[in-house]
This record gives sequence, structure tokens and C-alpha cells, in this order.
Amino acid sequence: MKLEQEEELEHIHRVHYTVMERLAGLFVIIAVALLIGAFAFSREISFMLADKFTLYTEAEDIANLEEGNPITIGGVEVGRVREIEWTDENRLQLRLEILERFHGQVRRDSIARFSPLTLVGEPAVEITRGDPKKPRLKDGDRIRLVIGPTLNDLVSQLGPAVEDITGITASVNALLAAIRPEDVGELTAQLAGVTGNTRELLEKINAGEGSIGRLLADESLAEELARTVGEINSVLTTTNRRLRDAEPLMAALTSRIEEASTLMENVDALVVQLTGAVETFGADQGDAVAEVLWETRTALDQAAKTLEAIRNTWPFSTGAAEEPAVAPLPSQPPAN
Amino acid sequence: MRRLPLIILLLLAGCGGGPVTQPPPPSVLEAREMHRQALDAYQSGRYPAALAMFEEAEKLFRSIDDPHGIASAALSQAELYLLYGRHEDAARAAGRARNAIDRGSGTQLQPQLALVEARLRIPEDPTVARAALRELAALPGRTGALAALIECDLAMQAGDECLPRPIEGDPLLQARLYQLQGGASFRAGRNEEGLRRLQAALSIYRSEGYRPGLASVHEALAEARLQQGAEDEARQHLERALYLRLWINDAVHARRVLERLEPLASDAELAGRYAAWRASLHDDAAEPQWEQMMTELLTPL
Repeated sequence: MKLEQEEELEHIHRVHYTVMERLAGLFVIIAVALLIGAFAFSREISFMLADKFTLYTEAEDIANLEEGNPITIGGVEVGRVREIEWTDENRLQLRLEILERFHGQVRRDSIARFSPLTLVGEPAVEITRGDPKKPRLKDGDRIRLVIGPTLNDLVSQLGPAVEDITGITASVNALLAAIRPEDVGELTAQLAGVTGNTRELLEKINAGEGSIGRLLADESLAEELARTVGEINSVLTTTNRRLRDAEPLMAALTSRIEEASTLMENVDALVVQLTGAVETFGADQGDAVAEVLWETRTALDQAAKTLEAIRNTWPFSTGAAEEPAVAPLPSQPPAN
Repeated sequence: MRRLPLIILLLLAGCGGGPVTQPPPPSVLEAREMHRQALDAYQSGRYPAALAMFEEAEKLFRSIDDPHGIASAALSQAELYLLYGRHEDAARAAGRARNAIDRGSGTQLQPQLALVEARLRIPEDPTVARAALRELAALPGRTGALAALIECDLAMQAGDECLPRPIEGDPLLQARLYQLQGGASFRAGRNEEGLRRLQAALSIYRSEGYRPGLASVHEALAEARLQQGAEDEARQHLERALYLRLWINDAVHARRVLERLEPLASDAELAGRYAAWRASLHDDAAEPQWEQMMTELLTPL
């Protein structure tokens, strides 16, 4: 019995570990090391521990921006919106915490931008890279914040644009209705024919070993030349008369087309933005703008068709058909 | 001679030059303005004034030798004469429009003129007219729709079957379609349905202020009431139709209404008055005559 107790005591106080015991210890150490590593390399933790500087900015309305939203420079996350609070002037003040190692990018001419219509990920404040020649913004300085358009802004801009496009399209359509395409086509064909004849004639003249006199001695060629010149004069007279008559129409049409083209570009950009916004926002908000989008698309399609019609109607850039100044009384249903 | 190619090239280059800024001559503006005023007069229901102005516009367009203007003004007169039932005058105006179009006013007015010519052929040769109308019915827009409607009307009158094509966006044609369908309902003995359709046509014509249409529906309603033996109601509809025809100086249709009113007159004196009016009502009656008749019509004997 005494012997057994001595052996047990010896076992407890021994300093040598078995292989199994060593392995278990190793696992514990690795687990602790991993935990420390994860703790040390966590973005949030590392951000908390890293050196930072603070900038302040103010805005009337920050839409859906929240505390904790990222701050980026050139797409790289460099900080966080730390605090949003009301000032005494009832404006919203934002405290921006930015990692010190990016301080060199933030200069006097840097601007903070925020777009409420961010399509991917959480809303972020983007700081523009400043001019390296300008001094850095100091810790605690203020930076200008520019807030992009909200969905409501876009919708409110679209309404008048749609009206403008519809109005312009209607005007251009009315002007187009006053044009007789068959006349333009006829005139163009006539001009093309005469131009072709003249070119052919000139080629003949030039190909005659440079001797115009010899070729013109040919009576038939001289007659042909005279006839062609006569044709050209006739066509030119008609063209000039028609262009003179159509000049006010042309001026109106050209300005309207230019207006419509610019508007189309602007509205198209708005529609792209809005379409993205509808996809990003909830279904309820999407429904609210769907009608405006549909109207815009319709107006754009109509404008595009009109412009296409103009291109088809005006085969040469400055050519114009005679303006039919009058249209008869529309056909009336019988009244017997 | 050596400069000839250069001259030719310069001439051709002129084709690409910008238009010369020069307003149309005053005579052109005057003719266009007269035509515009005529259209305005028509839109506000002043048909006699519109007719006179279209005649004046045609003269002005002739003075400046504008074939398109002449064709438009003449075609407008043809439309108005057709509305008045004055087929001979309409044919003459259409002839003038045809000449101007053939002289080179473009082909834009061709379909509308063809429709007028087809309608003018109806009294003489309905078969030929129907063939022309069927051809025109294939055209898009109002001309095609109206041609189809008139052809359908003729088909139904001839006892043939016709399914009118739906009309959208043109109230006057829609009203005429209801009128046509109403007539078909009456012929099939569905009187209530016929009355509903005529009332629908009447509502549209009222909202459009189209007096010729209103008058023609009142005439159709009078016919329907006569078939039902309701002579008083028939007479009321005819008197309203007469007033509307007099209002627009439509002698041809007014005479026809008077002819139908005579047997419905409550006494011999009224019948005598109707007969006297009918005899004195010429196509080109002067303005005061219309006013006088309208006043008398509203004054009980």
C-alpha cells in the first residue's frame, strides 16, 4: 500500500511529459496564437488600433448616410464616418476618421463626395485625391462635402425634361409634316444625275491627253457639255428657289433638332441613373418612379424616331424641300 | 473655255451652300393667310364664310401660280360642297384640284382627292365608287378609315354584309360609325339598340360642335320615330335638323328635310310655309334669307 502511494506521488511530481501531453499543449498554443492573430489582423480592430486623423464636414441633408459607413479614396477604404450630430445651426456635422497613412492624399483642394444613389454595397463617402503641391488638411480641419442627387431630385428633373422632349418632338413632327419627301427625293436624284453626267464629261475632257480643244472640236461633245451646263443651271435655279422658300422652316427645324439632341443626351443619362436607382431601392420606391421612367423612355423613343425621319427626309445636309404652306380641309364624314 | 470645268464645279458647289435668307413675297403670304383664315372659319363652324375664303385663297394662289396652294384651296371647296350635297360644284372644284395636282403640286394631296372623286361617283355608279373606296381603304390614316367607313355604309345599303373596322382617335369618324351601326340595328329590327347608337353619335357630334353630323343624326332619329308611329317626335327631330341645316346654309339637305316635314305639319298653313321655303331655297341663297327662315322657324304661327 505504501509502495503504491509513493509511486502515485512520484507520478504527480514528475517533470517529464509524455508525447500526448506535449501534443495537447502545442494545440493550445496554436489556438491561442491564431486567436491573437485574428484579433490583430481584423480590419476593424486594426483600424481601431491604427493611427488616425479626424476631419469634420457639414451638410443640410445626408440622405441615407449612417455612422460607420466607409470613407474611400480612389476606391480604397481609408476610414469611417464616426459621428453624425446636429449643430446649433440645425445642420448635420459628420466626424470622419481617416487612417494616418493616407493623410498624404488629403490636401486643401480635396472634396468629400457622397452619392445617395450608390448602386453596390453600403453608401460611402469618397474623398478626392488632392494636389500634392498643396498643404495637407490638418487633424480637426473641415472638408467640403458634396452630396449627389437623390432619387427625388432625379424624378423632379425628369418631369420637365420629358415635357420638353415631347414638345420638341411634336414641333419637329409638325415641321416634318410640312415637308414633301418626294420632292426632296426627286431633287436629290436630279442633282445626282446631273453631277454624274458632269463628272463623266470632265473625265472625258481631262482624259483627252490634256487637249480640251481637240475634244471640244467634236460637235457632239460640245453639245453634250452645253446641255449639261443647262441642266445644272436649271437644277440650281430650282434648288435655290426651294431653299429660299424653306429657309424659315429649315432654321426652325435645325434649332429644334439641336435642342432635342442635347435634351435626349441629358435625359438618357438621367434615365440610366434612375434605372440603377430603381434596382437599388426597394420595390415601393421603384414603383413610384416606374411611370416617369416609362414616359421618359417613350419620349426618347419618339424623339429618336423623329430624328431618324429627319435624316431620311433630308438626304443632303443643307437641302430642303419646298414648304407646303397650306394643307386642305381634312376629309369630313358624310352628313346625309 | 478653259475655265468651264471650274465654273461647273463652282455651280455644283453651290448646291451644297446654305439657304439664302429671304422671306416669301407679300402675295404668297397673303394667299397663305387667306387659306389659314378659311380653315379657322371652318373649325369654328362658319362654313359659308370658309367657303368664300377658300374661293378667294384659290384666286390668290392662281395669281402667284402656286399649284399646291390652288390644289389645297380647290380640294377644300370640294370637301365643303360635298358636305353640302352640292355634287356638281364639288365635282368642278375637284376638277380644278386635279388640274393643279397634275401640273406638279406633288402627290401629297392625291389620296384625299381620290377619296373625293370616289364619293362623287357614288350617285352615278355605286359599284365603281365602291371599288375605288375599297382601294383607298388600304391607305393609313383618316383617308383610309373614312374610305372604309363609306364603303361599308354603301355595302350595308346594298344588303351586303360589312364589318366596319374599329376607329380610334377620330371622334367624327367614330360618331359616323355609331350612326352606321345604328342604321344596321334598325334594319335588323333591333330598334332600342339602334336608338342607343344614334344617341351615342349625337353625343359625340355635340361635344365636337359638328352641326352637319348633328343634323344627319336628327334626320335618322326622325326616320326611326316615324317607323314607330311617333309623328310628333319625328317632326321635332326634323325641325331641329332643319334649323341646323339652315344655320350652315346647307340648302340641298334643308330642302330634303322640308320635303319630309310637309306631310307632318300640324296644319295646312304650316305645310304651306314649308313648301314655300323649299321652293325659295336655292343653293346659293343670300345670307339674309337663311336668317329670316331660322327666325320664322323659331316663331310659332
